[in-house]
Amino acid sequence: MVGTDRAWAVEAVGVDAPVASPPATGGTEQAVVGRYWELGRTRPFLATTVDAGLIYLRPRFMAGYGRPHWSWIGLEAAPSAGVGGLGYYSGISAALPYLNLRAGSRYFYPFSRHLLEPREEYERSDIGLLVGPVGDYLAYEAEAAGTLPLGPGSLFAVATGMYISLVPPDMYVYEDSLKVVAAPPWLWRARLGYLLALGLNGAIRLGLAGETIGLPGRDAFVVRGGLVASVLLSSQLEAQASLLPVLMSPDSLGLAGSDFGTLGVRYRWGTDSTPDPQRVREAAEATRADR
Amino acid sequence: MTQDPSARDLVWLYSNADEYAPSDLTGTPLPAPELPRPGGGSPRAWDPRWHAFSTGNYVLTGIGFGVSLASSLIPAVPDRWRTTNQLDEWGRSNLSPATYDDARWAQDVSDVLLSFNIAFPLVVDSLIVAYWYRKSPDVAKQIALISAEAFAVTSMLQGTTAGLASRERPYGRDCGDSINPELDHCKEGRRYRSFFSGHASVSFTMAATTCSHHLRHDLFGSPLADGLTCGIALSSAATVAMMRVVGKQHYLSDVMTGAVVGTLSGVGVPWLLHYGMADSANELSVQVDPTGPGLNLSGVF
Repeated sequence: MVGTDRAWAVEAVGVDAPVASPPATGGTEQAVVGRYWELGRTRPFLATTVDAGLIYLRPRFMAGYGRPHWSWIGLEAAPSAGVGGLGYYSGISAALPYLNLRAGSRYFYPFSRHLLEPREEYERSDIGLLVGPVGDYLAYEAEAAGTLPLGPGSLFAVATGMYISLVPPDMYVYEDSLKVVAAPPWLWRARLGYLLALGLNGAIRLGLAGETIGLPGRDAFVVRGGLVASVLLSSQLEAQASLLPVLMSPDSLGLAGSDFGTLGVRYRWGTDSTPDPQRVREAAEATRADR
Repeated sequence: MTQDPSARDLVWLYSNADEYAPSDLTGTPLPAPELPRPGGGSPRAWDPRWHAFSTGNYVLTGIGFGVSLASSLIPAVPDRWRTTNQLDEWGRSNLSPATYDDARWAQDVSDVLLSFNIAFPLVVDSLIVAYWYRKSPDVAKQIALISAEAFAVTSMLQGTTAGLASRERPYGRDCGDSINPELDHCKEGRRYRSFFSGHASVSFTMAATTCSHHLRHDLFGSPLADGLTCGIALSSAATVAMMRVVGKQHYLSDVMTGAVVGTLSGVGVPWLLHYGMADSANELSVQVDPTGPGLNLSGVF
């Protein structure tokens, strides 16, 4: 008899998941936020963003002061559940209209990943070997995400720094969020992209994104590039997709090393989130003056 | 929501949660009038002769996913089914690369296409086309629920069969030989879930439900576009099935069975439980009702 202690999760609903876990910050989050949230009232609030895809669910809970999803300061917590493993993130956030900052810690327990013996390069099979300690880790991370209106769309950028702990010395780990084999403790990412706004109210978005992930402990880089797209169905609901395959890497991990980040929906919610009449009037006057 | 009737050109400012308007972080959008816009399409109505999703369908969907999850706990029995036939051996020898690592690309292709097959009726047909473009929330809801129901029925059948059959996958005989025996694919129970293919059955289920929705609701508003969408969905499902053989995950008989079961589920669930044959003189429909500890299936033929 063969044990099914890990396989049960992987085989859920009959198929392996192409995306084992929720993706990392894509960078388009603020570029697509609707005016509804921009014109909100400044107040204490509870808010959520829920990403659902195949097959994962990532709710992000926020408690803070300001306008949720637009300009606020507060705390964040994000449990993550996917067929690849379980984890959580908790931290502090400060968001301005053009800049989002966050810092916190993230723990991840993978169902089928183990720590890796250091090597120059890895094949897909290497990260599937059930040898050695389980590849769970605790990452302390800080991130800045910026968004600027430019031409018929938005320019966006993300810079992430990560310090990985709980991994014994002289062992490498598959980092599930950025989908790279990292030599702890340090890891960083820089992403730059442009999201074109199309159609009525710019509800259809199509763009390009590229990113470099630095692996200082391995003295190597991973470069990815690809497409991001979304359709803004309402101020709360967004259908989104992205695929950033690897362009350059010391490893050959296939889809496990690509950012097949999202193919699903994102839902935003916040308490007392009706628009502020004063802000609406001011925005209307400003628009009239521009015309 | 604030209203200012004198400023109809500024109506976008007053967007509530049900509408979308860009914030100041977006430049001036390209108009692109030929692209779909919210409410730009003619609405679709739910015909009262069709069976809308009811309690029985929710129960069936819940049972389907529940049994599928539970079936993952069925322990594998390695020696239960290792025999193959000539067709399976031909496929294994002639359609797959020599090594397991060389076959990984095919697994990735099947994963990506599978996710598109699953997402299409749920995200594109239901949310984007029916809910957003055609402003038909009732139809959008029914499309999403019916698709999930067909997915659940297929998952239940596939999960249970794969667990009980415990057939070894094509790569299994190479574990410990050309494949490292410590690989998760060798050590975990998934090695013995070859019959029948989950990827193939789910892909064909979702492709067939896509075809059913487009046929019934004329979602793209053109027989050519709707037919093309159906054809692409089925072609994608066929590619998924073939890539499972190329990727050494399944034998030909596994994916062929999966394609048949998936298609039957993807056609049967929408038409027998919901759409029926309301346009024809002889109505054909099946009703699902929760009765006591089980489900009651009743039909009109």
